[in-house]
Amino acid sequence: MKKNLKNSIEFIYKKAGRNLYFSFPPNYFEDLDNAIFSKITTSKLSKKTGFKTPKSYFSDVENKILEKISKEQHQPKVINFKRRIIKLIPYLVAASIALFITFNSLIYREKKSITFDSLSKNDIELWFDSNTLNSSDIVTVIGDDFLEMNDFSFSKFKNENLENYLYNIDNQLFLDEKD
Amino acid sequence: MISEIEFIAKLKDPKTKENAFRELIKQYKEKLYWHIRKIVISHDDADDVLQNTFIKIFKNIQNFNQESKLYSWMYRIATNESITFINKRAKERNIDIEEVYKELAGSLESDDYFSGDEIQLILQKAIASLPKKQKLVFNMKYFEEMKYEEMSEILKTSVGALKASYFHAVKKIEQFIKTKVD
Repeated sequence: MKKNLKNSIEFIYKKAGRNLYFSFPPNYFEDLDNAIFSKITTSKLSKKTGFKTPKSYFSDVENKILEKISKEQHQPKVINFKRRIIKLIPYLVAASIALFITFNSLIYREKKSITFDSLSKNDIELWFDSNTLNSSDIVTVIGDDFLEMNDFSFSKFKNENLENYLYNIDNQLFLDEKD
Repeated sequence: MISEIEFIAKLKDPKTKENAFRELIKQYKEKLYWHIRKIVISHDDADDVLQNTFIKIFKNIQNFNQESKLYSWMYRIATNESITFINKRAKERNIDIEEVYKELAGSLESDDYFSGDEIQLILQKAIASLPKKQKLVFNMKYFEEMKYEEMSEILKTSVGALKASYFHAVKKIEQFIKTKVD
């Protein structure tokens, strides 16, 4: 009698407090409606796709794959020209941008630092050789006041005075100046 | 029976790689073929993608870090190869992916390697009209009878999102079939 009681469901409930510790995944009841709907709908459909393969396809494909792999293994790695060019494009673009920036900054710096003092004698001579100057160019730069200057005008000197000067001049002075 | 860890070690070892790989192809060729075929539809395309998938597996087995199961990793490669193939086809022809699928499903009637009846044809057309993710989930759940947990590992999507995708896919298929049959 005691043994019967121990095996009864009442005894289990008594010990476990009616809690059998069963659980279920979260959202189980929320998903259940959709799962039932899907089962009912798909139960009317065929499980066959209707797709076929050529005869002995699966026995042939194995060798085809292995053949392809061994071919690829024995082939040297060749990157075709187009792919190589495409791979190079980003580097070329980066290099040209870097060159552009470098040259631009060099030119800009040079432009900034050019002064009359920095010009060499050769530069000036070269410039004179390659450019023809006329009086109007000079007038543009230094003005036309000098045209009216008559410091060296001989009209002011009288012939007698000139003769006097030449007669009285000490030749030794010229010789000294030359030394 | 050799464990998966031992098998992977054989696949990575240059001395045993070739034999182990032959075994791998034997075990998975059909499963992967049917998985790919349902995505790309035509047999010739499935054949190309299957071969590329195995070549990719062979080349990258050294990088397989065993964070997921081997078959999940291979399924992921097969799925990506198939999707890339369809995207490439769309790009080559300058049309949308939906348009590619419309054409592929439309050509089934004259396909030598399709022997489905009218209902199976309508079902394939309905699947072809689904968005990419729903198409994958429906094929894997309905035809391949995969568990959501397995699909989650392959597609790197949560179980909840997969359940929702499947439900939406079934609803759309039901609607599509209704309009065609009525």
